[in-house]
Amino acid sequence: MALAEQLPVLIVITPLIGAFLAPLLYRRYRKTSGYLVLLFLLLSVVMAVFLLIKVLREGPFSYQMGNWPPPWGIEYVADPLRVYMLLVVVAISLWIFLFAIKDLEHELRREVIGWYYTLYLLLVASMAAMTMTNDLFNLFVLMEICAITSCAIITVKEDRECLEAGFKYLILSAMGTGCFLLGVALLYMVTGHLNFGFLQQELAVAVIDYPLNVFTAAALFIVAFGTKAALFPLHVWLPDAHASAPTPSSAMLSGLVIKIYAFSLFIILYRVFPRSLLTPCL
Amino acid sequence: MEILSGLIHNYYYFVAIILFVIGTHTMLTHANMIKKVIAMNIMDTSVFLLFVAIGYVQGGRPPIIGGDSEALYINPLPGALILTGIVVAVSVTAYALSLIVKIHRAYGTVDCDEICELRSDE
Repeated sequence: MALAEQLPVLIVITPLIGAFLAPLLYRRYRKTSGYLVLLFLLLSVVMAVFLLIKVLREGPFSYQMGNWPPPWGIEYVADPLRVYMLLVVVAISLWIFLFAIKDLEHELRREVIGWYYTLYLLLVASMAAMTMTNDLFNLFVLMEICAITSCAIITVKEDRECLEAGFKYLILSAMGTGCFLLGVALLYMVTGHLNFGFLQQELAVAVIDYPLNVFTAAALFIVAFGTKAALFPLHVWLPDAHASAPTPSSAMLSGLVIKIYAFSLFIILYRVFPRSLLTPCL
Repeated sequence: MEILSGLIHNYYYFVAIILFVIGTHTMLTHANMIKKVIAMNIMDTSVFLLFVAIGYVQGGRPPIIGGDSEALYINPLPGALILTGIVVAVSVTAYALSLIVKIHRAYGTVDCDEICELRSDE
């Protein structure tokens, strides 16, 4: 079926459409808009379940954006690991949103609730895409969307602690993405590819010719994702940001946002770097 | 000696890394928030410089298909990628500056150390 082939991108696009419509819906139907927005998330969950069934039945497949083949175009891969993570992301964000609809009325000014829905759906879309993307530069763009929106759902409360915690988070995650982009540049320099599969093939050779580039890039990736996933020495932003945020944002941040970066680090270490890099005896 | 001649030949990579270190250091050690945002931009720009330098080919020409197929072309992809990177950096900067405006309204200062003192007094 043709539509089943398009599922990876549809799951990402549905929350994006919802993000665009949410403030309009909130202005028109103030009482029910939360539940209308919930429908977009529900649609994503249903599609993620279908995608999981399809992948388990027919095996992994890749989706090419705009039908450009991988070395040039952006590729999304649906394999069991990524689709399970995708399902976890959209399903948990659905539950958090269900509780957020009532809770937000007590925590935020009424004018910003519609915009909160927008930020929330953008965050869900970027995280859903991060689970499936197979392209380093696409991952960079999604990380920045995720960083800005996850900061914004903290600072939307506009009290003093939130603003300061949000700024601290923004600066440290900007440092993280800077390191990530530098690592991408170092890998692109020696391979000329950004696609995970092609990188892994080329890096198996490049790690012998240019070991400095490859090891520096690996170190930069670990720092970048370590900052964003709040791994031990780089966790300084986390206590303030998570404690001062509105309740649904706090659930989202500690439940999903920091995990998605850990998941991306895992994917990069195993799908981008060649196996010889990971085994200690070269 | 080999490392030194490598550095001189690829001085643009070296400049990019120096800028990156300056940016990161300023961003993490200065207390003034505006300076942090400026440093963030220096850091991002250094990575963009490195990325664009990768695409440069000595004696190459713009990648527009002309008569001779033997010509050496410059890699256009890093330039296209960095265009996206610049847009992302601008949006992060805009968001950071708007946050600073709100912080100034709430605390009356844009200095991180002073904000720390204000919060410890509460």
